[in-house]
Amino acid sequence: MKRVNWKWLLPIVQLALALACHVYDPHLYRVIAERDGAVDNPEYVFQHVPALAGRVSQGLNFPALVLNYPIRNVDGVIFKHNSDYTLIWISTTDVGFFLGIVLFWFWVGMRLDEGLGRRRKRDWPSKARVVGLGCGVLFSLLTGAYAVQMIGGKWRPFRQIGMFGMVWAVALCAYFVWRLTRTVREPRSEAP
Amino acid sequence: MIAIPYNDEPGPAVTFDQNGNVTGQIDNLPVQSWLGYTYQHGSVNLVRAALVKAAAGFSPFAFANFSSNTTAVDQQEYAQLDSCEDPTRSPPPVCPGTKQAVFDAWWYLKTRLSDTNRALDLQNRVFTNQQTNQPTYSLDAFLKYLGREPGPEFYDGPQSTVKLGNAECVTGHDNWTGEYYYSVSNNSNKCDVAAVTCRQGQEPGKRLRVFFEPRAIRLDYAESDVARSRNIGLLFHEALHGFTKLSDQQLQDFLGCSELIDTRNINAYLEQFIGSVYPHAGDPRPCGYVETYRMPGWGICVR
Repeated sequence: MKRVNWKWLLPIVQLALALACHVYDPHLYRVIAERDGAVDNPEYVFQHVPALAGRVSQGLNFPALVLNYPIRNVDGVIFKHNSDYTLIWISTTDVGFFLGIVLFWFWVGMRLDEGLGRRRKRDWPSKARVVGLGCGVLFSLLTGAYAVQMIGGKWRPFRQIGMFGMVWAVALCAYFVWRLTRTVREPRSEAP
Repeated sequence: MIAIPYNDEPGPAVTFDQNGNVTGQIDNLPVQSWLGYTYQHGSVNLVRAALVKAAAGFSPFAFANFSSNTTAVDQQEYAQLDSCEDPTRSPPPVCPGTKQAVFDAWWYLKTRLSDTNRALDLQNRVFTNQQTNQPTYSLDAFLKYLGREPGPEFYDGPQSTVKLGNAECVTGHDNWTGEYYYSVSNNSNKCDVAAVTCRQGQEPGKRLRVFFEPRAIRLDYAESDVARSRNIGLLFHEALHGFTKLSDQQLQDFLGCSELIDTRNINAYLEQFIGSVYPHAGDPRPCGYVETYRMPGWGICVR
């Protein structure tokens, strides 16, 4: 049986899902807004955008949102198409988010392949491993901070995305701390 | 100096600087010709009415304009509303432009709110909390707010690329641009949002700043009192956001309206106070009555 190569499969599937949600989300919002008869009500817009598809996508890919944080406000539009129920709007920050998805899930896939013994672990010097895992802990803390900021916001969609973020922060923190602890405790191979 | 008459009759006009900001008012200025010039009534002085649309580049992106075709469009942070006196447009938009229509509404809002016949009702029915009957705001203060120098700022929302946060809009979606916001709410066939009011509050230096959906502005106001009232009602609604910092829901509560998702109950209620004749046929009525019998049955895009 052909083995699954997770490091490629995961980013491709997640990217495809995120792109589909990116296109479907405004459609979903417009249908809901029409059903609710929302007229001239900016608060309604802010309370319902992104719609469910966008929230799920951003929640599942919350670490990519964190990676995209430095350019979250760079929103020069690259492509847009607006018709009855379809809005396709791709800006620089969206591209950053998609790249973040590819990077993050590629990394998850690599770890998975290593864990399943399908990829040989690279032997980094232990100091480099400690530094790398320390960066991972820092990243998980930043993820948590971003999630808390979202949860404390006024608008429901971001609060919900923030909840996903908290789950991610806890999971990432647990993983990196566990790995870091193991790395620090294990006997040094280079010792005489 | 450049000038925009409020309507096609002799009377006061608004003056703008080269960036389109209101710089003042001329009391006895213009009759507007079909050629886009304004004339001093009763004199031979000719004032060239030329609203300069801020210089801007052209979008290289596909489907960049609002009608989703491939025509390149002006891109600018604070996009000016269309003015039929804009010399940079060829051919110029048909008169009146949305800029003329909005400033017409602004002028009539100020004028009609200053009418002493309406003052008591306005104070008791608009600036007093209808739930608690507590006088909360002052009509005089609101009039001063409307007239703050150098004047209000009205922009074309769907064309503006400024971020809502930078424009001091109360959103929490600060990185959205006006253009994106209106793209989410409105498309080429349908509008769900007519206007967004930013820079809210009465602190010194704060003037009314509204980003309009131009298609929500009626241009037949010179022939139709109803059309003018629609524009004034919309502007009154937005100006109350600016003055009170209340959200739509809070404003609905304050005016005694139901918390409908369609917030045009606020406009319909306010329109009772700003018609050309006052009082008009038993008006004003409570918002509960107005929202039951007078809610608009049409969409926001009037064009």
